[in-house]
Amino acid sequence: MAIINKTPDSFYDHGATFDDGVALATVGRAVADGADIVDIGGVRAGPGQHVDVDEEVRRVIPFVRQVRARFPDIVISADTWRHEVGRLACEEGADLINDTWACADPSLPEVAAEFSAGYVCSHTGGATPRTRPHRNGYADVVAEVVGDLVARAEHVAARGVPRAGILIDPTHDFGKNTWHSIELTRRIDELAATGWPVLASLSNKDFVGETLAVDVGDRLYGTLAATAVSAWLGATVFRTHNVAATCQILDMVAVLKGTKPPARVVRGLA
Amino acid sequence: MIVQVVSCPQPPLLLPGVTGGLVPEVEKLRSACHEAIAGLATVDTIIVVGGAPDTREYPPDAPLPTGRFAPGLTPAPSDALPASLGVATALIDGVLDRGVELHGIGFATPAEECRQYGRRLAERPGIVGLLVMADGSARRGPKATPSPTSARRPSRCSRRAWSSR
Repeated sequence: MAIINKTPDSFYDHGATFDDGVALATVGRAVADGADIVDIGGVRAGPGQHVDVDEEVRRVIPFVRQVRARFPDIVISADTWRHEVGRLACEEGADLINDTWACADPSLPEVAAEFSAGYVCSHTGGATPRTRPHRNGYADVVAEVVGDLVARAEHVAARGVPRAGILIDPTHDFGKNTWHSIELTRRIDELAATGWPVLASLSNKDFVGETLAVDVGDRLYGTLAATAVSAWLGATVFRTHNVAATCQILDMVAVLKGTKPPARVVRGLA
Repeated sequence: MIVQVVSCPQPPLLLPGVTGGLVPEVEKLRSACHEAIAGLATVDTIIVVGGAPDTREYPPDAPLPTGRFAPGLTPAPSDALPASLGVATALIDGVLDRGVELHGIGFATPAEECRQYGRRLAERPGIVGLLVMADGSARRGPKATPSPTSARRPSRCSRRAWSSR
């Protein structure tokens, strides 16, 4: 899942793909690099400039239309917590709603159900959209996340979202400090054991930065290490800024797990 | 009667080990808290007051709540102290070699009940020193909004650890 930020202020790319032309080229590169899904969002996750519904629609919806026209086979994910935006995105051909703020808008699952779109269930510990964690504590963060996400997945399925399109995302760093995100990565097999496909959104996040004491531009190696461990433990979808590197990591892990053959083996066999 | 009051902030990052490696600005804060708490050495009774899920006294030997904030470091036992009292216990340890009383005040306690609780503490016989765990307005900001379960009352308290006679 390639991250396409239609924002002027996202933490990683600082608006590099805010322009439609650049964003479209980025989608093309992501597809060529192996992305199966593009996740298009118009609002920075962290605190910042207020973005109302109209502005989010202006940023995202015409672009979804362009992507659908140019790349008819790619899965388009709309990264939004607002049902108004989700509805318009689905009308333009979005296949999946990435509800990063955990049903902050309770009408969002109904939109996915209406369009038979997929749905990403997230865990935020009850945080308000675009707020950062503050002293969140959990008796067992993994048990809390598993319980919350399974309940949310069943909830959205009961609202009519196709079960085959539902993913669960522990949502690293949302409502969690670095220790919590590390623990979720270490025990992500417990999420996979629920039977719901697990989306891991790890890319260049603060928990990687704090773990390695590196700034946002230097988090690729840490992200890829966490990606490899998560893939090994059963996560199946990876939201990433770095598609080519992530695909190589996932291919390597798949071969090591025995779920995919090596690409070319001739050495010593001739 | 209460003859001395020390106030310290209560961020979980003051719990032992929670910062991972040593973080200089946190160690500076920890040292300031130790210095302030050392001023309570001469009182007869040290009473710690801090926000808690319920208004009640907590056993001084209850486990720290470190595991709630740093899973992987330690487990998070169900009888762990609330963060405020846990931070206080950790700060006192190594500075004062004596017992303390840990008083949790429920987050939702009305102001008048808090005053009454304070009056009862003030009427205690002997020389009482109070350690108040509270950080007021330091808890606010666009990058550190309160969690849904935390207290929401704004405060004008000083940001730094302080003591007064």
